Amino acid sequence: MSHLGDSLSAYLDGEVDEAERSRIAQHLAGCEACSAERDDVGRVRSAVRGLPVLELPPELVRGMLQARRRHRVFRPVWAWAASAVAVAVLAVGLLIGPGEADTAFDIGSLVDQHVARVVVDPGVATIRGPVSGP
Amino acid sequence: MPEETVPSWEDVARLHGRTIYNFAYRLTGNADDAHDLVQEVLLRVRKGLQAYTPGSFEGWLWRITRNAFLDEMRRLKRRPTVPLPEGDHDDTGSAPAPEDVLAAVRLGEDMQSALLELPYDFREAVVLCDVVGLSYEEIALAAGIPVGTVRSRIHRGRRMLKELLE
Repeated sequence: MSHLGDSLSAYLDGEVDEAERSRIAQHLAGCEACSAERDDVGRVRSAVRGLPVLELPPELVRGMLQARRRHRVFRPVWAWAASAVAVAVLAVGLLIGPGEADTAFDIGSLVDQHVARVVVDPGVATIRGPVSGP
Repeated sequence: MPEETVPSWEDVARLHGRTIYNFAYRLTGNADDAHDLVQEVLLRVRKGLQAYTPGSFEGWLWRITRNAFLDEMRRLKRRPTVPLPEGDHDDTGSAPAPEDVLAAVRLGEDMQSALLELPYDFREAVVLCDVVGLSYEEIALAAGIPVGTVRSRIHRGRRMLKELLE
């Protein structure tokens, strides 16, 4: 029977099913090489698992939580600011609205000017299309 | 089967922050890099939680952690540095004898140095298994590799560590 190899770590980690566990245990009972490897790998496994647990620097999460709270408080302020700008733009638009009368006046002037030019130079009407009939 | 509840960002920071920090520290041997990584992971978790659909939360979290770690290491474009053992301390609250403390520190330093000597794939598999405590299936999910590959990497990683420590 070949040696256990990768199965040894899976065996130590409880990552084998019952049938494999029993097969491995049986093999280990009669194989010095695999038993020695299991012991070596087991010692390394225990040493890595026994490394000191490092505490998270407390300022790390605290800083992120504070930043999050500030974000929550300030976000509505920005929303209000954006709304205020939108209202202001609308208000300015409404105030400017009555200026349409001036625009109408300007258009009237332009029409008058055009008519005057057509009267002086009838070719303009001819060139510009069927404004006047034949 | 009980329905999985999606944890809040604060829960993730509280329950997993320390583990992510230890994962990062053991992979880099550097407290500053570990600090930066935890921040990056928690930021990604905060964004990702909105779109998270219940499933394997551990797998999801460690996939994010792993990707953030790899991105951060690419960004820094530097190799892991030597450990800073003075930052290590036990959280049991007991007061072991000074010689035991020294022996533990020495073993911790040697093990940390040996970990940094491992090729990344093997180091990651060993740390996720023995430091973080993930199952082989969760490691496979996080790393996007078959369970058989996880099994092989963990065993070979441990054997390499044994040789490095001799």
